[in-house]
Amino acid sequence: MSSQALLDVERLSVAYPGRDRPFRTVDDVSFRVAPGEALGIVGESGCGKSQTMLAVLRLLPSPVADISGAIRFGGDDLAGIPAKRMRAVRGSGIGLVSQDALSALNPAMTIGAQMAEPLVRYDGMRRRAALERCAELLDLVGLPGARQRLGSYPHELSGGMRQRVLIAMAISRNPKVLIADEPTTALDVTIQAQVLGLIDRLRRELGMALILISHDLGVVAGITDRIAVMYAGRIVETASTTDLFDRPRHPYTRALLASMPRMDEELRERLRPIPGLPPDLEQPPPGCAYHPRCLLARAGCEQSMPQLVRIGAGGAPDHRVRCPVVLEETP
Amino acid sequence: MTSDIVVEDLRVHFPVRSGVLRRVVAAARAVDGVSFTVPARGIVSLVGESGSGKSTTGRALIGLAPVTGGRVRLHGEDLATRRADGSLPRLAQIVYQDPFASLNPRMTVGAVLREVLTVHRIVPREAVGKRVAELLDQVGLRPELARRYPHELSGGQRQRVAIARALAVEPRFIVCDEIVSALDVSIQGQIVNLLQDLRDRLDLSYLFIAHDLSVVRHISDRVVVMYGGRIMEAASRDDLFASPRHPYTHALLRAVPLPDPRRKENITDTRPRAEPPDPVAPPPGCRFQRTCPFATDQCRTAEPATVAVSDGHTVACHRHDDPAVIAALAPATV
Amino acid sequence: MLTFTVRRALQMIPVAFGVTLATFLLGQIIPGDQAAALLGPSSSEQERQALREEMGLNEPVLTQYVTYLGNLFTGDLGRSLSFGRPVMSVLAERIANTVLLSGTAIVVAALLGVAIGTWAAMKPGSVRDRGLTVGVLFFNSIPSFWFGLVLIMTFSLGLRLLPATGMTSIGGGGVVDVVAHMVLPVITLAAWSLAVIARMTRSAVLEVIGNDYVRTARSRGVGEMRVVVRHVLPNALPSVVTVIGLQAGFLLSGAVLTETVFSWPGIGLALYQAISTRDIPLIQGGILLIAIGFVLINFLVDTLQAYFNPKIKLA
Repeated sequence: MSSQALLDVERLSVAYPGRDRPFRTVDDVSFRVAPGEALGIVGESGCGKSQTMLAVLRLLPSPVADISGAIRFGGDDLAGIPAKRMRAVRGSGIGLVSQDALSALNPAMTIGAQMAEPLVRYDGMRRRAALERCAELLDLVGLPGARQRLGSYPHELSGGMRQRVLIAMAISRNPKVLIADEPTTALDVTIQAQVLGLIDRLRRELGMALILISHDLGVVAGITDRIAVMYAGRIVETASTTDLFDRPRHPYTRALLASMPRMDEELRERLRPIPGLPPDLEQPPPGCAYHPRCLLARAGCEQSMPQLVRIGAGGAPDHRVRCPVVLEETP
Repeated sequence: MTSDIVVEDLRVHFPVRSGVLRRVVAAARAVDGVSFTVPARGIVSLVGESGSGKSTTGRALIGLAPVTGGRVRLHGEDLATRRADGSLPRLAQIVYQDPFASLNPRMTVGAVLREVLTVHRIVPREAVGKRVAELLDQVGLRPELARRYPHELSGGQRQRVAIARALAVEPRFIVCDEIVSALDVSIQGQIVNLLQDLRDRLDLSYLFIAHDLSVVRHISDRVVVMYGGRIMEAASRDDLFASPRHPYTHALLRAVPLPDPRRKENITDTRPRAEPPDPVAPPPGCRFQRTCPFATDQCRTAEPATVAVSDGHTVACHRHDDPAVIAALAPATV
Repeated sequence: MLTFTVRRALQMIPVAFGVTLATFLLGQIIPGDQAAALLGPSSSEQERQALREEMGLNEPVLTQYVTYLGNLFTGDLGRSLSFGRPVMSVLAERIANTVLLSGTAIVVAALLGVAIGTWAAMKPGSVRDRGLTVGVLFFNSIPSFWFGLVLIMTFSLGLRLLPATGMTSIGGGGVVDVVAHMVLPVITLAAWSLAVIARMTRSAVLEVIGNDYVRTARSRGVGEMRVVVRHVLPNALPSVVTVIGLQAGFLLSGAVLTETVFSWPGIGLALYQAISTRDIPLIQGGILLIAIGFVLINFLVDTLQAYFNPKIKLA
């Protein structure tokens, strides 16, 4: 959007050696996040949304995954800086909250020990002061009895509490960007609503930018400013959150919205799932990866991968779509 | 009314052992007095959060969890009798959330189905191959898939295989335990539609255990809401979603995030609710008291009775007819 | 934790009884006449019969077992025929030597094995990782007595750097002498176990390193060395400890061969002599001791296991 992007990812690709030839799990992905902005990345399993974020943090298995493109953050290109500088970015520049809090916490360490570890090792805090700060953070994320919890092991907490601990850990070194990868998928509905509310509040209070990854459009709708929809490793549509829900353009976005059973709509006789299956990334279909499932597919869709093209005039909010068919529609 | 499944005051208590000698010191009341029926060709949903006892109830119905109290009748016979004479697996089957974990990774899809058909002697040996093809067709899979292994299939295809395996014994009743929860939204609909088609074609009835209320709203005839091992509310689908009468049902409905950027009311930054009650020592009174915004002293001392508020709509709440509570619960959806 | 330890300790009792029964039955099924072995080939049938009567060999098997158990509780393991002394005193003076040798070997194998396995797992597929695989294959394919002989030929007979045998009494020649005598037998004993432990550590570390919590630690800027030491190893160790325990048991029994090759005055050497002279009470006593060692090591492993697992530790 503007030149003062905090995180600017340009033409990011992640390739793995395949059975016959290399294949890409992330393909030519570009996005920007401004300070304090909340970006949602939406797509089905295997669409590359988590891979994109792990590539940004350089947490993919390094010699196997071949990463290309630029990841600009704080004046550096993260793709090229030495490992030591990258470590300094992790946690204190960009924080990560992952999906399943039970497996994301070390089962053999107390909450306090794992929370305080980088604060003592890298931020020069004394152990006592670090634990004090951890107790404050646990209180900030609404964990009841925060101080006593420092001595607990992960298995002693409920799923919702563990997710709060994981969020507290991710913000413990004051990151400027918080990446939340499916942070509520493993939780009960009532807990999910609370955790989403918590992430939203922390972003505002701490002035962080947020990248929220989810397969559920309902989850990202309420707390993001912009949304990028991914399919088979590529962004197929990106728009402001309101614009995307009001005027979805890409056939995949539309089909995804139509497939959701919704609480706020009249009941339908039957659900409208998307026919077929997402493509095998090792053998993607020629041309547009979505064309075999697309209701608007026409001759030519299997010829070449369309570009992500901006629609509307310069004054309108930035709305891009990767589909020449819908571009010909009259708005 | 003919009911396939009649559950009366079902209790599933697990022994809690402790000490050097592993003596039974207490009982964990996973399911503690649950009654409902599943009519022929009916789809009854069981909803609630983890620890509510919904999955244990489902497992008890097909003999996979011990029935320690109450009774379960399947097609007019007691569960214990059905188990003893071996007719239980032919009548009731279960499909789980994670088909990958319930399919043997070293057996092809065809081998999995053939095994069920031969073990239960469903069809004569020479007709097995034909029946496997039929089953795959019934769940919308191409016959070639019989030669594939589970890891070669997508999540949705694996779930179809699991359904086909359950159908192989030609059951009357299937427990669907969170079977669409792990699937992508775009695929969920395929499985939900398949379940509805199969019900119509094969006269099946389902107990649909789920936590996603938007799917539940779509598929169910009736909905039973559980919390802490007990039923809080039960009603027809339309009644429950339009006018929930239990504060817990209301909380569940209010928590579903809406895919509409202008409706943010369901995202609430609140302190965590109290944990579900300890199944070993549940509090006296209502199980939901510690979380309930309407709880009174009565709720903390006396267990609420289950009362009918209208035809087929029951609720276990002391304040079910308190106008203030009814007003607060009214605008639950849309 | 206390409950678990007590429960686990109580479970040793039936196992210990099983072990005594097994060693007792061993004495019963070993072919040959004990009385004849004791008295020598020139003894008369009358003398043998008298001795059988005296030793209770004519009693029913059950009575014999009860007597055997009773003697065990008073520390009486019978009389060794090749040493002409009570079995208990033969074993007692040798147990420290065996524990010293096997103990050092398992410590060396465990420390080096864990270090090498971890080091290889940090770069899967690298030169060092492949080197480990080859090394494991090599050391697990060569028999340990042969390896011991090769070491003796190279370092004692060839290079004349280290003594091969000649250890008679521990402590006689001072610490340096003991250490010098231990080097080759420890290497011989440790090599096989080291390879097994390194391989197990490698796969355990590789499995743990893929866990989400390792990624969490990295995502918060924790350095790679610390990730391995603080997050990976503590979670990988339980499965490694199991293997170390098993290896410790094997080392006890493997000592028979190694002690023989190096003439190390331990239980193994005594057992070897006992076997060649049909000294059944000593065989029984030696095997009983090694088996009890096995049981104790297993107990130790399970207790350690519980200590690493907070779910059991807190219970």
